[in-house]
Amino acid sequence: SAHAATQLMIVTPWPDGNFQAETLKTFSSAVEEATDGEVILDVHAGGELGLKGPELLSAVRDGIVQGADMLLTQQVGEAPLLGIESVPYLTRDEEDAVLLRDTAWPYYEDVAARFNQKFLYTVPWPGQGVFTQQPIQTVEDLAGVKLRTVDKNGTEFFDALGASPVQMPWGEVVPALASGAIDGVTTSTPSGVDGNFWEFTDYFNKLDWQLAPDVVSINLDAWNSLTDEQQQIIETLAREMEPQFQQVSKDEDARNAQVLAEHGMQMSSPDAAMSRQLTEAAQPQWQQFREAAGTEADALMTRYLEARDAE
Amino acid sequence: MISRLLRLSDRLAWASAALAALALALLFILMLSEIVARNLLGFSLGFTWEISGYLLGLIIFMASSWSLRNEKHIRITLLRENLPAAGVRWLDLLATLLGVVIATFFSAAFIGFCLQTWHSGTVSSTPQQIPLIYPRLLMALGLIVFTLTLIVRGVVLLVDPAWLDHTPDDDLTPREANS
Amino acid sequence: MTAILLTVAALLVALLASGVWVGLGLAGVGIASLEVFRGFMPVDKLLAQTVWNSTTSAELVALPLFILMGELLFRSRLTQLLFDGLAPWVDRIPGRLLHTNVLGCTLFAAISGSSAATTATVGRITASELTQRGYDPRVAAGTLAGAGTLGFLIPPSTIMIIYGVLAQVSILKMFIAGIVPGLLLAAAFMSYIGIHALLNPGQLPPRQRGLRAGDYLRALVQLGPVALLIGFVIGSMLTGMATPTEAGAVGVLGALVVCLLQRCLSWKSLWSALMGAAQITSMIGLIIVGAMFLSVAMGFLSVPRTIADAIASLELAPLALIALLLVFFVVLGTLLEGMSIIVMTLPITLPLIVQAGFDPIWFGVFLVLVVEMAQITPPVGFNLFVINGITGMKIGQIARAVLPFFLIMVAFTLLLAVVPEIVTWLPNHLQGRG
Ligand code: NA
Ligand code: NA
Repeated sequence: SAHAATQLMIVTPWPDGNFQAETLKTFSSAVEEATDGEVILDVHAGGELGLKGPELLSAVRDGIVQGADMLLTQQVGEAPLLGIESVPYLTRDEEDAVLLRDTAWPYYEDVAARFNQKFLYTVPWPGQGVFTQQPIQTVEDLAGVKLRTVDKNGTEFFDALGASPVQMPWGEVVPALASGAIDGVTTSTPSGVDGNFWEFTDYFNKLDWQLAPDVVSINLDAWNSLTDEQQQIIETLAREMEPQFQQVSKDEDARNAQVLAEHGMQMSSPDAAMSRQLTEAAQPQWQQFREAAGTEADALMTRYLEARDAE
Repeated sequence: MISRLLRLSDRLAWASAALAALALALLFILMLSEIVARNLLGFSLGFTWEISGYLLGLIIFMASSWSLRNEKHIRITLLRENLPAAGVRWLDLLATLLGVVIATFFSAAFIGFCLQTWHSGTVSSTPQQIPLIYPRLLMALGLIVFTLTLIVRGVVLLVDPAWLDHTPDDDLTPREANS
Repeated sequence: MTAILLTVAALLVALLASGVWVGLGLAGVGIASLEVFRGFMPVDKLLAQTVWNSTTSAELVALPLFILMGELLFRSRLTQLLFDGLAPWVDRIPGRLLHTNVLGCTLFAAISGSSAATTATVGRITASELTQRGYDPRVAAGTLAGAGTLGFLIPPSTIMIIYGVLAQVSILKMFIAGIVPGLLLAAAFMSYIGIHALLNPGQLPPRQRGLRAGDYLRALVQLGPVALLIGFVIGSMLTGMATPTEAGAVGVLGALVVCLLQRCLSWKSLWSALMGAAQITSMIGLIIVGAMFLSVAMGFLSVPRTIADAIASLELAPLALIALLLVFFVVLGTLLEGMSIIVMTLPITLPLIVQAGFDPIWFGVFLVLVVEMAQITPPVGFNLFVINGITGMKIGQIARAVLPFFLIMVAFTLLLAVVPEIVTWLPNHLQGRG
């Protein structure tokens, strides 16, 4: 092509080889091919650019980078509405999760515009469960379990369930599990495999108590510097490839669950009774989210719950 | 005049370092409390990790001026050691001026960072949801004092470098050290 | 890319040679090169965010705590007891009290996470005492500078914590992997001291006369408090009372108890320990900030990727790759501080190494050794600075005295490349535990 290529720097906090980083690279290749090399998404993985996660929404707004793959739950310090999918046990199954994702998307787009950017597509992380040294079949089994949690939701949710939530940096988790400083960790199956959790824990209950979506976002000034045709190509690609990337996440979950099982871990999911108890325990957080995250967020939650319960 | 300026600057640097020392003591107490709470009382204090991180940032910048004054910050002296005495003074002045330029960029960047944090009311994404303006403002203060200390150092070098030969002792307040 | 590399190199040499404080200088190079080559981006915003991210990171919290522990112990008589306790036991070994430097540093390395702290604490006691007892001060300084580097290799280790976080490997495994190489290296140092003493008997004072069984027993008793303190800190980690970072706080607690029992804890000494530790933390922190920002700037300028591609395109055999990297790191290490070397080069080197079939844990130990070498090579070497501060000896003089130890470390690193099991055996052996 006669045009000079437009090069956009896109950052992802996840290391090379992680499925979020890899799907982003796939997207980047597709964009380069479809635009005949006119638009190049230059993906930098694994914190090479010193950006860790919670600052990505503002980093893209300020044009430090032209785009980012960001974990939405890490952006709640700037935009609380983006935390809706991480509200505990708001979705009970895959069907709920899809409904919430679709309902929330237009609201997300408004937030993105306020932060001078455009969200292209979203890929969820596999659902969060609990790795523990003792079986968790009922809520009562959680009593007093020293469980490492990450965010406000998790800490208050598991506190309400009777566990003893502990916070510590990820770098300390494996030593702490090995020495017995903590009894368990709440995270997803890929993290469990990365940390060789079968060395320290025997049980994984996939509570699916929280969703953690990543969003790929692009700075609006960078976006507006593209031609209409280029914008259209990228939007189309994002729409077409999103389901494919979401499937990669599911496959990743299944593959890692199998690895855990092969190492002798006992896998389970909550039964109907436990599911009810989880919903009940989550109510204060639902209410808190409505009150603290703004009127838009409140409206979004109402709309989702009405749609869900109308089924 | 110069001695008064230097004494004022030293006092500011000492006060800032004293805050850093208190921050270090607090960091130790927090960590210890978390160990005791988790092992003996059966609950986690949670906030200790996040606060400890902020305290570390505070220590680094709040103590930097006093470290500078006590020549604790590392610099390469190879060229300096091989220069005649008159050259050393001008080289030191050059290094100090370069330091002032870089430190001013740091301070300006951090003031901008604080303003933005203030405007958007950013809180941390941790369970504590701490308004980030407080720790960031304190770090900015440490950086500003550091920049001022460098500027005073430059002025003193220009006028009479002999004043800098006497570094204030850690255990004394600046007034006692200089008398 | 050539223009970028030349600019960065010229700026680095100019700023550091002028005597700008290292942390500021590194950041200055990063700021200037971004302003020149990526002038359209908000460099100030990136700087503020990087400073914030690097100085408030939970991974570094152990650092000020271990430094504080060292400052407290320095004000106690613990180190004095340690060396009085070791003296009779090494009297029959060629080199005699010179071994106290290696043994003392090995023991201190087990409670302190940093080489500078280990060198400073042990050096305060030995440097003057060895000279007083008639040992050649150059040999004493050389053994101290060499053995002080064990602080990073023998756990706990701040460098290993940083590596573990950056490379996403278990810090616990890193710690375990450092034990065998650390002890072997200490043994190699002691062998050298012994051989050197046999060849140069004139540099040693006459032996102690008439040591009796009672002297050995009394010496053992004197070693008691040190053993208890080390056992206390390590025990808190192994029993799950404390995580590796929290062990820093346990160490401070232990040091406070030691000071209290020895009646050397006053408000004044506590305050001066806090002020001293805050300043050392600030010194190291400022260098970390500068190194982090320079490394981020290099990332934005795609420097690591370009060099990685260049090295990768050589398609070297694993051992040749290690040899090339060793040369690369030793050259970097003459000028740069160890921690910044890891931070700056890991994104380039780790993928290469893993691709060549080496274990990331092994590479971590390799990097720790490289960092230790950087501690003792002029013009920028932390241990050289520390000993310069303690003894007043010229940096060049100390660097010459430590050269044999540097060569031992190079040889040892190559040995680890040929026999990686020295590193990987223990962590793999202990894996099934828990
Ligand atoms: Na150590
Ligand atoms: Na060096």
